[in-house]
Amino acid sequence: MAGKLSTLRARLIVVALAVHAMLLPALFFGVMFIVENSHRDVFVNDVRTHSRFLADILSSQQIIDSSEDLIAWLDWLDSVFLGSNGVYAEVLIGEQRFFSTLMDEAYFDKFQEDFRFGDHGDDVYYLSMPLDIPRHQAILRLGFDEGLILEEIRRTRLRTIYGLSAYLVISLLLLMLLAVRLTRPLRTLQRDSRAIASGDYDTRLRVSTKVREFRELATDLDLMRDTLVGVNERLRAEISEHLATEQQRQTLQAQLHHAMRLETVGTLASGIAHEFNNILLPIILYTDLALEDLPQDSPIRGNLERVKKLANRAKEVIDEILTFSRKTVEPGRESSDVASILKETLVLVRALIPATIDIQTNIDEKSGRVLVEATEVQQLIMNLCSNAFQAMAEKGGRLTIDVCDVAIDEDSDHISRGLVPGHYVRISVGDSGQGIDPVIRERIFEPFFTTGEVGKGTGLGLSVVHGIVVSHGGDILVDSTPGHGSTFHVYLPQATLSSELPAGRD
Amino acid sequence: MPRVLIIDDEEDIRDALYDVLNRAGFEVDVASTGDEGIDKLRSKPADVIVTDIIMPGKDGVATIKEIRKEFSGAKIIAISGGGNFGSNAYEPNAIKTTAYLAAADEAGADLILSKPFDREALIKAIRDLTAG
Repeated sequence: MAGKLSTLRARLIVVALAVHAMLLPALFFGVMFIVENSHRDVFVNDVRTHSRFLADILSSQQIIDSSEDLIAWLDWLDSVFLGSNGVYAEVLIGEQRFFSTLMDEAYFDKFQEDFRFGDHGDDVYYLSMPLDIPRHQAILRLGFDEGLILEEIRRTRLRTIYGLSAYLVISLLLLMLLAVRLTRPLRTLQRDSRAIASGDYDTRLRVSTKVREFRELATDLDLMRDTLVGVNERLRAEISEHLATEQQRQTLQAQLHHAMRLETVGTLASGIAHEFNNILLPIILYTDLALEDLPQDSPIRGNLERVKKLANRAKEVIDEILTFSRKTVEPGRESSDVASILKETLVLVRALIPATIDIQTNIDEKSGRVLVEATEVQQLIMNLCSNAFQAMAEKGGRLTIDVCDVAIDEDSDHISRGLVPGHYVRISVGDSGQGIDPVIRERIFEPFFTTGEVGKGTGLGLSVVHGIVVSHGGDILVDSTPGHGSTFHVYLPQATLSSELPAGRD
Repeated sequence: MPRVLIIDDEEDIRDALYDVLNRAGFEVDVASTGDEGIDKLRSKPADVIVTDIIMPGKDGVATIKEIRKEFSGAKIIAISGGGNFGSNAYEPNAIKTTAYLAAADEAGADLILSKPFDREALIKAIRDLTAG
């Protein structure tokens, strides 16, 4: 019940009913009071005038002197009364009462001293008029029928009741109509603002009402909604920024850890390399001595030569590991021959990649020089080869590495990919693995993005490659056919004469 | 007959180098530390000193500096396990990519050979240094 009473409609009706409950009775009794009084006043005046008139007639015509005259006059009066509202007449002279012969005997004792209107129960209004006759104490007493007047009053009361009831009903109906007209736009506004609250920012607040307050409320809510949307967008943007910064921070942190690990590895590698080199030296020297001791045609010669060759190869691998993992004494970019850096790195690559993978190279010796940080280029090549190896790890395949000069001119469709026209050295690393799904092709250079299993690879390899390429002013393109393999083409801008640094050699 | 002193803390290397150079006809002596080497030089100077760089105690760079100071005419070949770019043949102008190789160079070594090298390389180096 309490719930139902809290709606606007219910309250309006309750208030209206309460107001009317006080108002209508007040009106009713007020109206009745006025009507009754006015009727009474009119009646009494009328009656008194009438009585006065009769009294004057009686006084002036000396009818009193003779009883027969008096009674005849009363008879006349009686008959006249029949046409009007008089019902009783008597004349009191001293102690003697005179009545009309026509009067009903029942009336004889009727006269009462109370002169109030409507109080007798017999609906008769009595009054007495003293007669102005010398020598006689004469009083004319009359009774008038209140009936008609009372009837009139009753009718008025009924009409008033009907009128007020009709008014009540109509006003309640109008009130309900008003309530509906008020609550409908409110409901609409309510529904629309709930829609906004639940995230639907496109709903405009519609309200079809001529009431100004509602229109203004709708406009204000719209404004609030727009502000809210604005605030939301700003918050979203801020959060995205924070996330991006956070992600950046994480990436940098990961790179830092990586670099730190590399440094440790570098130190370790240096120590290992040093030890190994110290071990390899006697191996080679003693093999040399043994070879010297053998006759020229000895069958053992071949084996020993092979041992020496392998020892040399071991040295090269160790050199590569060392170079790869330590910082250069003069960090910075030197004009370097990409082809030779690649050849050196290849030594390591061949050592680390199992025989299930066939390595083919096509290196143009005459390809140009690039302004590079040599270890970065080595890392780039190592990462690309590692990536290619992973693509072919299960089934084996072919790893191809090409180096050549390329000129990008205005017409090449490389322009669309962001390469400035000019001369480049292109390093291409290809595999015959399962290729790259076009869906993920956009994402392969993202940090931490990896399609490998958990624990295999950090997902940083290709992103590092991308970083290195971009920092050298180049670009990297991917050519991939799902099912057939992929080739990564790295374009590094060629060093121009003016940009070649002095080589720092003695 | 050029006289060569070998300074290296690894016994196998000392032995191998001794055998190689001996067979090649040089007069060879060995020492296992820088100090021992300098002592031996004082009693019997050498034409060429082949010294390792990374050694416990006095390292090769310090040894080279001392030898330079005391025996200005001696030729010094620094050998190192640190490695560098390129092949095992000796290259007088090889890029000195490691700090200690550079230091050895600065200290006054005439040549740097990176381990492992083959005997031809060492013999040629000694012959070149004692030729002129």
